[in-house]
Amino acid sequence: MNKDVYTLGMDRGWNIIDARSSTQVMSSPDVIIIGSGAGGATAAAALAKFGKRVLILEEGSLKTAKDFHNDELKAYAELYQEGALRTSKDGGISILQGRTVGGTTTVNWTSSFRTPASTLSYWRTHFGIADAQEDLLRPYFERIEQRLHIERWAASPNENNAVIQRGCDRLGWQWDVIPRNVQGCWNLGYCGTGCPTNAKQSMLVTSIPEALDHGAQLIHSTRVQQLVWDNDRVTGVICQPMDSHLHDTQGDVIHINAPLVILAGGAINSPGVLLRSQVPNPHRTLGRRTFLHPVCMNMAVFDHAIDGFYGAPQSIYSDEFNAIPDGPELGFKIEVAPMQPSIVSALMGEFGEQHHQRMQQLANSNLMLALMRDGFHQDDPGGQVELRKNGDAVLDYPLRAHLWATCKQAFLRMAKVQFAAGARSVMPVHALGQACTSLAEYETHLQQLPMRIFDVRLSSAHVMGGCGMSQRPEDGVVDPSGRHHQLHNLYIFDGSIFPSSIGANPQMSIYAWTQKLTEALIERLR
Amino acid sequence: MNRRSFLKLSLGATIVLVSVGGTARFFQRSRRTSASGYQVLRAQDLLFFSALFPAVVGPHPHFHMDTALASLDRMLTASSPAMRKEVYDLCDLATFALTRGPVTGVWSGWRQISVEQASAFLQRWQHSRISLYRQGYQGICQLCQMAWYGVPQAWHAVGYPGPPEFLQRLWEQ
Repeated sequence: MNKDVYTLGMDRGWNIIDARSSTQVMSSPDVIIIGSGAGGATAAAALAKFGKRVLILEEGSLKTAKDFHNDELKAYAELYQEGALRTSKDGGISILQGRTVGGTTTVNWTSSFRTPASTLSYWRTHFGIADAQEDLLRPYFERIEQRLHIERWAASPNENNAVIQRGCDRLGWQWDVIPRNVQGCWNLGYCGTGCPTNAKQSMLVTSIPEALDHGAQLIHSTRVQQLVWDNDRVTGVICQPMDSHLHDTQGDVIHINAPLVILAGGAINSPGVLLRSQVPNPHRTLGRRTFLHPVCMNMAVFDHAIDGFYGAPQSIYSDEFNAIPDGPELGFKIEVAPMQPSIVSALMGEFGEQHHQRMQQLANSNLMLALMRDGFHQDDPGGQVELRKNGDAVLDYPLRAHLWATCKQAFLRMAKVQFAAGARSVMPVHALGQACTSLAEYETHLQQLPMRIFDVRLSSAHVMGGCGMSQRPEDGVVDPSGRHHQLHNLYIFDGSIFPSSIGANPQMSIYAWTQKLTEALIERLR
Repeated sequence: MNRRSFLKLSLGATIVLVSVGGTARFFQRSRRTSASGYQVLRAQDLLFFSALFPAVVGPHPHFHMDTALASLDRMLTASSPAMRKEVYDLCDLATFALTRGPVTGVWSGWRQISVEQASAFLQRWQHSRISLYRQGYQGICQLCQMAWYGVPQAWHAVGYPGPPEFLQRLWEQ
């Protein structure tokens, strides 16, 4: 039988503390890393290997393969921000983000793309990030790909993904295979509830264990309330344990000091910590330019079984429409979503008899999504992270006309792919959406649907920006080395430093940029 | 009605609803605590969701109210204070005697409501020009649907076989 990675690690002396039951903080850490996701874990492994005394603080709890039971509601409650019910401030966009050891990497769908060249070019031109070049980043991507076993998915795509392949083939549109960070994947389909076999090469089973093997301490179930700072330096952090169910903080506040702090709480939460800390923000850039890759979706029904709840959730994509357009509309990447019943039931639309009938077609349904590439136009400044009265961070993301115009385009193009692949009917995921049996009928239906908040069921699984990199302090929060423009021993290494969205699933961008910036930091520490 | 006056109306309506919601909460303050056996749901929330669950889920052969309510309670327990407040405000507004009729069209109360009446209410909010109602409609449907289809009893009838059985034995010693 299997032995859990963490059970074995603890046996050989890993320093892991549950803040709810122990206060044994390591003495005088060299660096405090806030967050254990793609950014925090990558930085922790590199710094611990370099010999630094690394302390990792994580708000979520430690859940490992033996706790992952492919149970949607259990996973949403235990492993996601706000129990997977997080939304933008006005409720217009649902936001899926992880909150557990390993961060979102523990629950993501494993799609691993390099940062697109067009995105890098935009950052060079508009934010003065000279290193945003494919050639300079290639070695980092190659190393990450090697370390996390990232390869194009070699098995057949499941039927849900094959719809993109077949439809695009018939239309003459571009499609390709998605690279995934898995080793010995069982092709189960439950990536989103935590990988039960440790095949997914998430931070939970790669960089966190590496950091722990090199003496790092991990304290989980603790929330960093504030950074403590003075003039141009951070002196430490104030954190507080979570309660037994991780709903709120409870118990004694702890001060921990360190000469270096790396913030890696992810977009929304990283700007949130800085806002709570009232750090210098002379150009009012903090929390601004937060992007979501807003997603709109189409549900199609086929005559044959799709079984989208089984098999690698994402293995085929299309970038046919994912260039940065000249005008203000957005490019979008086409992918599919895994189709476990709880989350899909919320997207079927309608209620009662009609909803029940649609649910009965679950096994024959295909859920296609268009991931819209926000932040590449002067009229598309994204959202702004704010604090609620109780100090919780929330993203105010206004839904603008260009987004709605793009939704219409994306709905129609996805319908083309689905009909070309042989769909019996296609329905926009919209409060008033109805199944249409031909493209012409769909097009007419779409013209009648209001593109407005709450009706179009928008969601997001990628939060980026809010602490953007920029050469000039007027344009961002950190410089191109990830160092805070005003607090000189504070670095931010996570998705919040991206000056725009990525235009592809962002985990690889976070790994590679963090690796590069951490190595540069290590050079400066020598 | 032109767009301008519509915007004014819906803004005004929203302000009225928000302030009335606050009033409703004031008068219902004695019923602020969660019901026995629940972490989040209070008596009025149970009344409201019990009335709506059958209308939202539809003719599912294995629907079981207590299971559905317990599942919803677990979801809300794991959500944020902001989300719980939204749900509380919505339930107060929809169940408080003075606001219930005008806001929901359900004048007789939720206790004895038929599925047809509950469906009429959902339809009214689904097609409303007031975004607060449309948000309420979406919230109610999504919460109830996710809660019900997250429990194993719901799966067989919609053709979801559940996770492969061998996975359950994966970590047994």
